[in-house]
Amino acid sequence: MTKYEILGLTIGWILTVFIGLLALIIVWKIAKGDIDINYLISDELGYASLSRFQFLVFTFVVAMSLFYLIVIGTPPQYPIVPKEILALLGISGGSYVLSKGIQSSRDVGISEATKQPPKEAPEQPTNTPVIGDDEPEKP
Amino acid sequence: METLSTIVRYEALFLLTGLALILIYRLFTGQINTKGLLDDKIHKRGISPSRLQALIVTMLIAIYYVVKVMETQKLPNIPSEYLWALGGSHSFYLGAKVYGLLASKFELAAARMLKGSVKQ
Repeated sequence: MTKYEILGLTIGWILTVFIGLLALIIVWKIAKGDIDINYLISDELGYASLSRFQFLVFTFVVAMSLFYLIVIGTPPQYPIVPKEILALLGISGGSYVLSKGIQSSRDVGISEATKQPPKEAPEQPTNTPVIGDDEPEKP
Repeated sequence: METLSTIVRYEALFLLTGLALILIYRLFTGQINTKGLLDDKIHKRGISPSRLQALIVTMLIAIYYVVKVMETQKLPNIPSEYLWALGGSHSFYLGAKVYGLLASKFELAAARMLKGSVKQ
């Protein structure tokens, strides 16, 4: 084994351990709730955003497909990425950016007109009904 | 080298599957906020058709893509018609959003003008 092969192997192991630990910490913290993903697909007002949701869907679809194609190859190799995939992600990302621009333009317009800051996100992020919300007020 | 390659595969599998499972579980249990995903937020008129069609087109293209990957065992060439459909769907969604933005600005301007004329 040459010194360059040893160097390559060492770098490979360091990266593997580093990425493995990183993955473990991220998944563990998300599962425990230390990394808050309640508002992952929400906009600034606390409502779910369709463009964020479709961005999430395409990201997972492309990542899973890429992983599958790399793993089934013998030897494993990175597949050729057709330009249509980039267009797909481009449409998705472009739509997200434009949507965000429109949203912030609307918020600025409304806050200028009403002289009030935009509404803050609701305190309760879940879409499950909050106990006591629908109860009539007692006299 | 074989061991290294195997470990990396399992790491990537763990990361992707772990994230996907957490996201799916939290989406279904409501721990990730999906309130108002399809609602018309500007005019508050219930479900927005532009959002609904954008969601359906997105999901259909995502499913088509996954099926094609499984069939061809390579990253598929998506027909340009599908890209046009996705682009058109998103343009419609964004167009509706811009229309809502302009409509709300006009409404606010009209309200201010009315308020001004009442004061005078």
